[in-house]
Amino acid sequence: MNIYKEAKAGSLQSNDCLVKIFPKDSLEINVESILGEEFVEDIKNTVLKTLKKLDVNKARIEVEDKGAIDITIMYRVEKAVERAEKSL
Amino acid sequence: MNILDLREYRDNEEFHLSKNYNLITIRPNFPGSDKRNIYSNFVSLIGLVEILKDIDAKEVYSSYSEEGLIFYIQSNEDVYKLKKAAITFERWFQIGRLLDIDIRNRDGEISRSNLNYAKRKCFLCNNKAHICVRNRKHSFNDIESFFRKEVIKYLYEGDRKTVFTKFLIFSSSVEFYKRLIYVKEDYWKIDKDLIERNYINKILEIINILNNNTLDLTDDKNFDLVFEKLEKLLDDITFMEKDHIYMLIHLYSNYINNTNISFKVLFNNAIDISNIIIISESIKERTNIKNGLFSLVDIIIKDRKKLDLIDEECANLKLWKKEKNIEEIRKFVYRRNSLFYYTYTLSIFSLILLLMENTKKEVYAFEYL
Repeated sequence: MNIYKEAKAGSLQSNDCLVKIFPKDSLEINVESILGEEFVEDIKNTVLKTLKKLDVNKARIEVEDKGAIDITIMYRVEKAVERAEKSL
Repeated sequence: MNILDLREYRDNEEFHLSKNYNLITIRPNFPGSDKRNIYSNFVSLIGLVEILKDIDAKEVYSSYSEEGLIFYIQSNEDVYKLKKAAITFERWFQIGRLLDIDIRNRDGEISRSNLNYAKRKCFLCNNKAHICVRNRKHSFNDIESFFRKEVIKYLYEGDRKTVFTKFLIFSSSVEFYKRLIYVKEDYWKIDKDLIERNYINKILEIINILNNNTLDLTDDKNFDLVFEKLEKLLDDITFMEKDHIYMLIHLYSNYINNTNISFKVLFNNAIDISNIIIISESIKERTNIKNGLFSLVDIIIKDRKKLDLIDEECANLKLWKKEKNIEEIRKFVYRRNSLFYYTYTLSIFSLILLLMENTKKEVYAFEYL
């Protein structure tokens, strides 16, 4: 699946996260979390797993986490990808 | 829409609502993917009533979805002052921690760290709340049961008038719950003219009149006098709610004027009132009213088609709004043999169950409707 344009999903409400996705030639994931550094790797892995499932290999993903659980993160990533792809 | 889509939608709406004003959002801090229930509704309503005492509100909006009963207050007051008030409320008001009160302006949400406040603590273990959520440290049942017990504890505390006022607000939280079933309409859209808000204002005025009343309301003549005073107020409310309030006043009068009254007596009063409601043939045969109520709920659960009857009955009853004669209305209420009154049953039923400190299972019997 290819990312053609930038898109976002989610919010900065508590226990949610804002996922932004941009076109890029390689894969780059940046995560910021109010929970602190110890959770960043954890969240990155969840994002990576979701992208693999969706077969997205090239994109830049920015995640601003406000304490979301994994299910929420997956859902937001899926939505962002869906929106980034829909535009064509 | 699922709860995550609803949250995204709400966030966008809040953005628009906070363009020209500072915005306060009050919502229940309840777990799970459907936060609608009588306890969380109650907490939101109490939150609204208490917050409105302290701040100058321009406009109040409301929505009712899987996210629970949510109120949005637009205000011109300083955003940091609002945030401080919210944190103080969440921390010090008895059931404040059962609420999430967010403050935002056009630049986004004001967080605790903006004011150098510590992050919110989990109400079960006092660790950082976000981390408990992320690690799923507590089960749904543990959090839900804590929430419910806190609400019930809060309902019982205070003098008679305070307790009754809380019950009045509690019963209007049941009204919200019922709307899910009777009004086949979604309230997830954020709206400022929801009937609910008017209803809340009315409830507050009624509380005021009742609290300032010095007459003995157990006397029928006095009761009618006060009821007449309330009539104008009640005129705009639909018949269903009016009748509901009528019964609550009745309950109130017995409660307030008898200094020795126990919860048991109040419970019996509630049963008397419920007698009006014991209507369907199968229930008439039963002598035990409590069982009757349970079987009524059973019938409703088993036969959803009967719900359609209610719409018809509502139409009929609207005609009665023109009638000013309380006696006539009373007689009508007693005479009526219709499923219509089970709407009140649910309100009174919830009161009864709370008074009896019933088990969760029983309270939930009607939540499954």
